[in-house]
Amino acid sequence: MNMDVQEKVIQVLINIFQVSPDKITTETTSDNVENWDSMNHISMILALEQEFGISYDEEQAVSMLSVGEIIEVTKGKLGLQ
Amino acid sequence: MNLSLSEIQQELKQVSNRKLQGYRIAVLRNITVESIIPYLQYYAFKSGFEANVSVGNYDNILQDCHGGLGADNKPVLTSETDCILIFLKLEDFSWSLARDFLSLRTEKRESEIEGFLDYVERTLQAIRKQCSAVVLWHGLETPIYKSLGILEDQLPDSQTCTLKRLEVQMKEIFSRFTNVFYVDLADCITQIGINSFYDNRFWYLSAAPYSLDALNVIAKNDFKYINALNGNNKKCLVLDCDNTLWGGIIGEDGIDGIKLSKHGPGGGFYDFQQELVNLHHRGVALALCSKNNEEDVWEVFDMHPEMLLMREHIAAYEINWEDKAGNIKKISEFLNLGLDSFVFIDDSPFETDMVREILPQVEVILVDPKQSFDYRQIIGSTGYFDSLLYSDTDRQRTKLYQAESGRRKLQKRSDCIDEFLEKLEMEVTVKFADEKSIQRVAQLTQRTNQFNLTTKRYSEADIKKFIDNDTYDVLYLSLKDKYGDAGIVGAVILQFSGNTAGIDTFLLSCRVIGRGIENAFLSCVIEAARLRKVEIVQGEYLPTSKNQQVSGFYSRCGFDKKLRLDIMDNSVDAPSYFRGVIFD
Repeated sequence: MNMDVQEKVIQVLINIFQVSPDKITTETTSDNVENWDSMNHISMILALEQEFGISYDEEQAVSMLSVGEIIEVTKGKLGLQ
Repeated sequence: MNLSLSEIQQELKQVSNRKLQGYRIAVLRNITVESIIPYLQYYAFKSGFEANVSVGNYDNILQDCHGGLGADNKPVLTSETDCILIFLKLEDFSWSLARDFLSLRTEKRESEIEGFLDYVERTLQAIRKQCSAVVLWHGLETPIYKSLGILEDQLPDSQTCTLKRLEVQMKEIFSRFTNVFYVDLADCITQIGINSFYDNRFWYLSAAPYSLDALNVIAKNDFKYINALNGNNKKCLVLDCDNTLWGGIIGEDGIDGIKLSKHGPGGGFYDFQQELVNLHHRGVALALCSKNNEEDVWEVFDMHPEMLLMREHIAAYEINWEDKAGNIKKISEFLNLGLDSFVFIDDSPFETDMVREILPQVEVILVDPKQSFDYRQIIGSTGYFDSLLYSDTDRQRTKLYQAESGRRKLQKRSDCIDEFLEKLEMEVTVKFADEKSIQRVAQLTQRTNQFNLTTKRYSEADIKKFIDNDTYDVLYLSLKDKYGDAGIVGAVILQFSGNTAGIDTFLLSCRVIGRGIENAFLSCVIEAARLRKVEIVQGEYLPTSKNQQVSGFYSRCGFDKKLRLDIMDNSVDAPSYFRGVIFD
């Protein structure tokens, strides 16, 4: 179940930022990805919410700028840790 | 029916593999809408285009129209642009008109309105200097919370009434240009509900007002216009009959047994038929494609008191036992309409999957007869047939089709069908009937009319007698495929006498006709006969009004004119696309 969250998050980012799969890992941050700009950040948040059926709050929506953080916050929203 | 963004992006990966014609879309906006891009690309792809989307500068609509450069340093609009989408949210243009209406004195209100209309006109003039692209101007959103509450609709000078007048004034300006359309967002909001339409977080954070679902619906709606203008709107609707036009199966349930009524459980089908009649009047060709005996279908049309569809509404039909992909092709040739203008509706996943695979250009809709209450909404919400013209020719179109004559010769089943049947992973199991299967076997003898060689009706007691009698063998066939376990769908009763096995009964449920299962069954029956060491299998055919399709069955399988097969020298093979044919 936990592996699922990590895999899904990475897949969503690969699709949103249109990069090859090896470019997104658990260490990736917004600084590492050229297409991770403010526009695509919004799309990423919305896509993650749609994928997991959750809603991030305002602060989380802006502050999740690394894959690691996204996975952690998302697991929290799903009640998994 | 709405795909998630992830699913859409998966689909879009195919685009680069196909050499599709390009379609240039420019998005001019005073809000953040970049997230709409994959949706635009997806609907373009479905329409056979590869969309190239350029987004104008934030809140720079007029400048973009005068040759402004986008983020990629290329002009947002060029003479090659095919379509311009305008998102001008009133909030940013005129806060007073949008949110502070009650503070406005009449004079100020009039000057705000004038300023807005002037902006609209200048924008369109600038656009037309650059290109002749179709312009879809997304309309004013009605205030969610009315400034005067329930009083709003009662006063002619209220905000809502003023904005409605503004809409009319905008449309008046649009009419002075060609191909400029007012796209009412209210339709989109109605489809998914106001609570799902807006995302307030991102509106405050980055002026992005719409949710992903909203952007999906907006893009889908925009493409109704684009498709209509490109002549890509669908022109023909092919309809299955059983469980699509009425509840139940006419060949089994009879005209009194099918469900079709204005009130009550047959109402879903009734309302669906009314929508079909409406489509007919709009110039859409309605065609029937049903696995049935023709007389049975026409009996419903002619005799059922609640039938709304009439023969005169039907532009073409193929009612037979052939495969539906071949039939749809024939209808396409008969009507002289391309398959890419076709929509096909059926309740059987077997049929819809087959048509999707063999005729990928056809838009296929699968319906669930247990949810017939949704049929009207399903057909009404697609927008596939939307066109921007409506003339007398549309009203008469079906008569024009009917005036042409010509039926095509039966085509041989193609290899594509066999490939499809192989993918079904059909597993057929034939067993000797036992206590548990008596009820179902008896039921089949009583209800099966079409694929039934002798139509002998037996009770459970009769079947039990056959089982207990040494000179009889009762066999049943059950089917499993990738759709699930269909259970017992065929029965055979053999009578042994001397060196001959007579086939007293050979039948198949009409649900599984057309897949070659009868051949697999017959091959097992011959095995059963061999077990009894007989030399001859004797078939029997008793014609009725409903079973003409099997009149040639035995001779097709190699039986002679007297319907005899010498099984010492001959066999019947099960078709190769079966995953398994098991005789227990």
